[in-house]
Amino acid sequence: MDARQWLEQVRGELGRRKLPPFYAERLVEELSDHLTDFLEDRMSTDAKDLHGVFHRLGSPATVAATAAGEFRKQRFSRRHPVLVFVVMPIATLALLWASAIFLFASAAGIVSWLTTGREEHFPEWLVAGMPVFASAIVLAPIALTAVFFCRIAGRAAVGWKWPAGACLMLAIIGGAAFFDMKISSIDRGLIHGTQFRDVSPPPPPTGSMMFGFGLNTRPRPWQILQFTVPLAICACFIWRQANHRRQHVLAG
Amino acid sequence: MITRKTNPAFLNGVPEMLLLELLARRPMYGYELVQTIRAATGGELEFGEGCVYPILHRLESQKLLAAAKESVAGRKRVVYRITAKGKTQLAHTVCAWQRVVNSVNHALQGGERGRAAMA
Repeated sequence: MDARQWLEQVRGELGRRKLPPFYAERLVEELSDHLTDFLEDRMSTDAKDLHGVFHRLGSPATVAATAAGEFRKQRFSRRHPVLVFVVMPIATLALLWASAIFLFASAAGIVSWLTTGREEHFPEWLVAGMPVFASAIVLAPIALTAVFFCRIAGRAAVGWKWPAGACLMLAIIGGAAFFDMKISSIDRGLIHGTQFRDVSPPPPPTGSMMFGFGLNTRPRPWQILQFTVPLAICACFIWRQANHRRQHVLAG
Repeated sequence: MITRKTNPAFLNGVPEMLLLELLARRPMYGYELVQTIRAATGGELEFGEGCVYPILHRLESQKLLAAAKESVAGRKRVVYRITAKGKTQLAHTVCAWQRVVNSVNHALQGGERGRAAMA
């Protein structure tokens, strides 16, 4: 066996243990340098000397097993997968939803103040777009959380089950979430059916905001999207990981 | 991963301590480190040389070491250096090791009452 073959076996063993490609490449590169240093020391490329260095380096399986063990010790997410892939996605999603609602409310107030001079009087276009904004406020955090935890799973090389579980949980919670906002505009201030267009000061707009969880026998289109988006993100992630691993093993 | 055939449990943590100690003396690349361990321990401890690198990578991820590609003897190599955090960790580890060694030696020598205490 020559040095290239030994290194390819190590690469293959690392791929079989599902270590990330960036980690495997670095290790193989340093082992290659080590082999070169050893042979330069002896100024030889004898098969006998090569066998000696392979014996001292350890078998590819032993090196890869040590690498897998040491890599596992590095990552918090590998040591505490339940905390990272079960608890944290829920907490992250809740935090993102709260932030999104707060940011939207603040932005709506600023936009209203700039366009109408009063922050509680929303322009027509903002009121008309409320259903879209409400759906985006629910959907965007779900998608962001799914992407974030899939990336963590990829970097920690925890396999596909943990991110799949996290995304399924996000799909169920996200699919059941709804956010309704109803706000009247300054031009459509209606109280008891009477229009107050020319009365000064204009009456305060009425409105309501509701965030909750519930399932309908006929779910809304946005709820279906909220359910399928994290699953689609997870499927993409698993497909990419499988692709990377296939390329890695083929290269080995 | 140390010793010729087996890895006794009491040697857990020893590779990390040796690596930090040697890198505290001067920065080194992987092959140089392995040779230095062999020389420093009089050949008593031998690493599976390929297994040093995963440990170095873990110590780097824990910010105990820093690695950089440098030109050494006309070739680019990854050179490891100990960090300030690594030096602190080394001091604690050596202290703990000394305590363990002293107390085991003390017990093996029979404690304060000499060999009679072992009977």
